[in-house]
Amino acid sequence: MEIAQKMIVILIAGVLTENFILSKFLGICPFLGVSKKISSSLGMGLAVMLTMVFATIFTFPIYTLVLVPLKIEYMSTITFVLIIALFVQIMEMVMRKYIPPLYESLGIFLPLITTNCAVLGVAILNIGGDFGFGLAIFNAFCAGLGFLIVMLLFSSIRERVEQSDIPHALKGTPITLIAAAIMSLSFVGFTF
Amino acid sequence: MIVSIVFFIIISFASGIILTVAGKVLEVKIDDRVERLNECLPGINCGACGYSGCERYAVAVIAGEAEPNQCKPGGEECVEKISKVLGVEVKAAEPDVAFVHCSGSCSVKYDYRGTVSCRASELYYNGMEECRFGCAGLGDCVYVCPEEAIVIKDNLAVVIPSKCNACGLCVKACPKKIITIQKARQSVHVMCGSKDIGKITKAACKSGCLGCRICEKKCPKEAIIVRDNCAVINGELCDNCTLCVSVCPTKCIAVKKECEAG
Repeated sequence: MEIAQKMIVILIAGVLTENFILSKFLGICPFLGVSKKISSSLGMGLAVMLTMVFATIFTFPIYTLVLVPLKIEYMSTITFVLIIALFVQIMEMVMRKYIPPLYESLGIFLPLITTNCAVLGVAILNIGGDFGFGLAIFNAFCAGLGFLIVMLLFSSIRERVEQSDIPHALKGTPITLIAAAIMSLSFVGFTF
Repeated sequence: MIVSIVFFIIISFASGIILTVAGKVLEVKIDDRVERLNECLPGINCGACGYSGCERYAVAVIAGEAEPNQCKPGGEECVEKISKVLGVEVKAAEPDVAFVHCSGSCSVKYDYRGTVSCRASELYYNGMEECRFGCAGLGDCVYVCPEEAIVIKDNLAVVIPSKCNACGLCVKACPKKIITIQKARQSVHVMCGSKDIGKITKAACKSGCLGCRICEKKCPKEAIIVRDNCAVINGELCDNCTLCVSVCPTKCIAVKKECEAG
């Protein structure tokens, strides 16, 4: 019962109140860079979600089983960066070998995920919170889900903005940033 | 301190070994000709071949989807290199040049003193020229041309064929859509791009194409087709016999010699 309660809290926090993009301001680069089309933002969102979950699966045990007993917790950041980069590289190779169409469509995004702060952020926040292994994975999943939802919402806004009549001076990046700001305001509203 | 150093050395080595093994196990064979072909191309990603970049074009050539002679900026030199890589004799594509379909002889509707840009003048009643397909001569094409192959002579844009590499940027820049890419060996050109009916064209310009179809009927090679009230010469079929030049009632088909710069 208590677990279920915790899971609901994590779900709502991950998707709405403490959304990675719009409340924690992590992963802004793909948020603005890959949100021109719904299809590409869906791909990026799913890829980030997958990486977040797997990054937690790898980093959490290494932290609790290796770093904590050796009392070198301060090495967590650099270790996590290494592990995430390694995992993304291997994932890229697997995709290239077995699912080439997915590799073609995600091609550019995968190296971007390697240095994506949202993925590193999830790994670090997970060890900071008092989660067990299972809940940490669930938290990573929810953070990824929040990322995916915001990417989808924002790309659909952008697709509509592209087609509407905007003043010439605001075309392109300015209107995108304004839309992002308004959207971020609405998500910050969840916390109060 | 030592623990952390040792730990980091171990984990780095482990990652390195894992990546190397994964790289061997999950290796995907890529045709190395793609890379060699890519080196032959100019690498400017201009898109004149119809692909989104030089590498995409190289992939398409290897896959057999594209002809090996579609790279326009590369020219003959590039085709030679490609044929070496592919191991087959590739014939260089016939060189193309851009051509402005206007004789510049129409009168002016009003005195235009706005921004010096064809696109800007086009916004005011389809430009200041009486004919709405007349070259405004304000030089949008001159501005975009990377080779400086277009000059304005008496309010008419003129392409210098020896400098033109047929990249097609001027074709896109012209608001009147009167610039096309033609075969370089073709010396007979229709000096008009008017798609209006003959009556309107005649009222605006004394040497416009009226769409009378005399040239179409007389051409021995069937190289001329009147489309949208304007004659179009098919460079593949034309053998420069100049019969059309002599029969055209408005003299809008003419033999064009290479224009000297200046």
